[in-house]
Amino acid sequence: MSQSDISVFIIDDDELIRDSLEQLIKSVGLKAKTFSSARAFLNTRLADNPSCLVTDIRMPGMSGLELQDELLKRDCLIPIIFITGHGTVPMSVRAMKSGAVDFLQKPFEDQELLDVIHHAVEQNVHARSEQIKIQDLKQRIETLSMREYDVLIPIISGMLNKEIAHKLGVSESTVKTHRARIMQKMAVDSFAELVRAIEKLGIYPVQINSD
Amino acid sequence: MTLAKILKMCILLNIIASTFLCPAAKLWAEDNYQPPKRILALFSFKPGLPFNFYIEQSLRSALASDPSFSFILDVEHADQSRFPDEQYRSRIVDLYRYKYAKEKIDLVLAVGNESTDLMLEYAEELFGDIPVVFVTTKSKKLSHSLLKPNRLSIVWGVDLKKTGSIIQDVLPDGKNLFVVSGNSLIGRKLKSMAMESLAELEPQFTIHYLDNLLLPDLLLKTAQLPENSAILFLTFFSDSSGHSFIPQDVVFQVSKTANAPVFGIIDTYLERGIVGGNLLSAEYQGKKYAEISKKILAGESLKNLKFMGAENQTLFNWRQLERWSIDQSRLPAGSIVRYRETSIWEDHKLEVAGITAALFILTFVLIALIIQNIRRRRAELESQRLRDERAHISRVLSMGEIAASLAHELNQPLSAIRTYAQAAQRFLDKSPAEPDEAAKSLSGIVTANRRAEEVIKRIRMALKKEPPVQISVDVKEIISGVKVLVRRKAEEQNISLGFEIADDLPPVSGDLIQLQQVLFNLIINAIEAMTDVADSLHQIRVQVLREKNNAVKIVVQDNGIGVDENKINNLFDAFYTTKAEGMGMGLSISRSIIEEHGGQFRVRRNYDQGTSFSFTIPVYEGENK
Repeated sequence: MSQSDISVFIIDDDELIRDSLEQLIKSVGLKAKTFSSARAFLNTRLADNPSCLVTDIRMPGMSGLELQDELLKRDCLIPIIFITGHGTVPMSVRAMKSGAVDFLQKPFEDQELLDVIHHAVEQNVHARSEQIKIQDLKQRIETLSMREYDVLIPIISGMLNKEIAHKLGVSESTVKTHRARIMQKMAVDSFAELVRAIEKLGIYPVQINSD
Repeated sequence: MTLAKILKMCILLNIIASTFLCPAAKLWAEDNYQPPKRILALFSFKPGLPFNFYIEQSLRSALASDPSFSFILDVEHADQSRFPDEQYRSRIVDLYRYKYAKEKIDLVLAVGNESTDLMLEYAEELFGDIPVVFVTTKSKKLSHSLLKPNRLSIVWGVDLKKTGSIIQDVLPDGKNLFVVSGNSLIGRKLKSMAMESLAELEPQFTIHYLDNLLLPDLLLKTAQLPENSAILFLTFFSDSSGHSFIPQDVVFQVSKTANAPVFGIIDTYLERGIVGGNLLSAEYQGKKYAEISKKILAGESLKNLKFMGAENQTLFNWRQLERWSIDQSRLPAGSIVRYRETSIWEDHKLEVAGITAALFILTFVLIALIIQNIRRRRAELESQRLRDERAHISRVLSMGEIAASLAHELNQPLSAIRTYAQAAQRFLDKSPAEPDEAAKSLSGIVTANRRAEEVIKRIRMALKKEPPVQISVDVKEIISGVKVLVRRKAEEQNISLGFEIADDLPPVSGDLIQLQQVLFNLIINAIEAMTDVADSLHQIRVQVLREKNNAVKIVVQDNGIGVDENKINNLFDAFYTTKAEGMGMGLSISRSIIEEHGGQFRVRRNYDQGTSFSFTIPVYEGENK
């Protein structure tokens, strides 16, 4: 990841604050883009690169906290750093609980903000790579046939090939073949890896009663 | 015998009577016991939609209105409009098959096109050969031949043509019609219906279709429509991003924020703020279904039951008619106006007249007795009032308040200066250094510095005490001076304070400081009015607009506790206050300042919540006027 790939978005209704933050961020070689309102930010299509958002909390129209809610609703992963002239404790608690990265009070040290931005971007890079992994697994699991899917669920629940064969009324060797195909299609090398991958997709093994 | 004893006897007799009578009633009921009729209402939409809910309520209460009719009403929401696919369809059929395998249903009401399609195919398989009533839109009218003898089809639907002609009737000057339909399947169907039905409105109206928008953008657009516009709200199940919504909620927001009247198509929109239209009524539909169901279950032949048309009603919302100043004589014949606010006089003519007459006589006597006394007291009160109110204004504008706003307003430019300076340092420390960028940061410092000076200048001006003068005053000057003083207080109270200032406002004639005092009072007053309201959305809007009669109008609108209509006049009394801290705002002084300026001062209750204070100031017309 090179520095110039990173975008920092700045939202503040006060042009002075907006502009000075832009200068500061540019001075360390990052890209900065400013918006005068949360609405203007929401209406912009963001490029697909690592980024973070620095926003004022109190703005006319949509406030910073409302923007945070809206972004959560849209499943947007961008990390948020709030800046405020006079933050109250409950407000910062609420923001942090909803996943804000940090909460800075004006005036702050430049290094303080830059550190938080770096931390936020790292977090964003990690979250994005996780998302790509999940995307890949989703595509892989789609390629399983119905039968393979039927076998997959008992496998990750820890059933033995023999038990599965009995349950589905097929031979044990058929189950083995399916198992091998599943491992191949999901691109995993071990049973443990398979369980982890499936868990990432939000599917959890269920205890199946052997009736 | 004492009274208490008589009472005890009565109670005892009562108990004896009910002990004997109750078992008899039970026996009678057991002899004539008939199993309740089971009716299944199958709605096309998802559960939780107000329109369905009202139909269901109305259906249930109409069925229950006859105590001898015993029934069980099951309700299913097939939700197929959200999941139109085949797989979902076969799954819900499976579900119903499982659920109703042991329950014998006597009658099915399939409400909506999707339910109708489903029941045409599966009713017999799922429930056996029982009567089914289909409720469909006109476009899906079922031919008699398609239906078996125990099937009945009812037509419902919206009449967009009629609603269109109503809009034309009530808005003779209308030029633009904006049609809102959202992005759902139903929305698209309604939009294409509208394209057909509204063609007659052209060329008087230009018709625009507002779809493919996010909800916030829709709200933004409808708040800024050109003059002589109207909105026709069809539905809004989902926006362009695919988020799903409840249309009733959306219509409420649109009606609240739109700058043009909103018309609609179903009656549940009416209480959510539309002006009106030819509306499909949930209540009426529910009643009709109940009536038909009872007849069918009583054994009446379906052949005798006639087809039912949509039978929609033309309804209007009185408050909205008032809000948009729509002339009620323009409403089409047979219109029903709901939510009319009647005065006490209209409701209780006799009582009011009687009490008034009695009061008149009493007052007359009293007045004669104390008139002299009052005269003397009034003079005393008047001079005291003026003293108190002047004192109050200076208290509000106390040094503490001003020092606090000064600190707050200076914090912004100071913070910016610091950031700029640090950026400039970094640009210069870089190798190679970036002197151009550093220069930009330095010029930012200059701008921020200027702003700080401006803040100090404004506060100094607000503190100046000069005799009032009538000169040309820039309205923006009034606003910016007050903004500096009130912003901190608003933010402290977590109140969003918005200013909407029209472009190209002419200068007004008056005294800057006095006009600033009035506006300052109104805003501080609005802030205080809201501290008692436990609502998270505290808002004050200050609007500055050009009035037709050569004046500029400033409106301060809050969504606080609001002022009781009857008490509005009291507000101007010297000692009237609703606040614990006392005098409040010296509204009467504000009013007299405005009247001295030749303007008008008004208080109005907002139609939804809170209060609006407004005043006008004449436009400056030069020295010789």
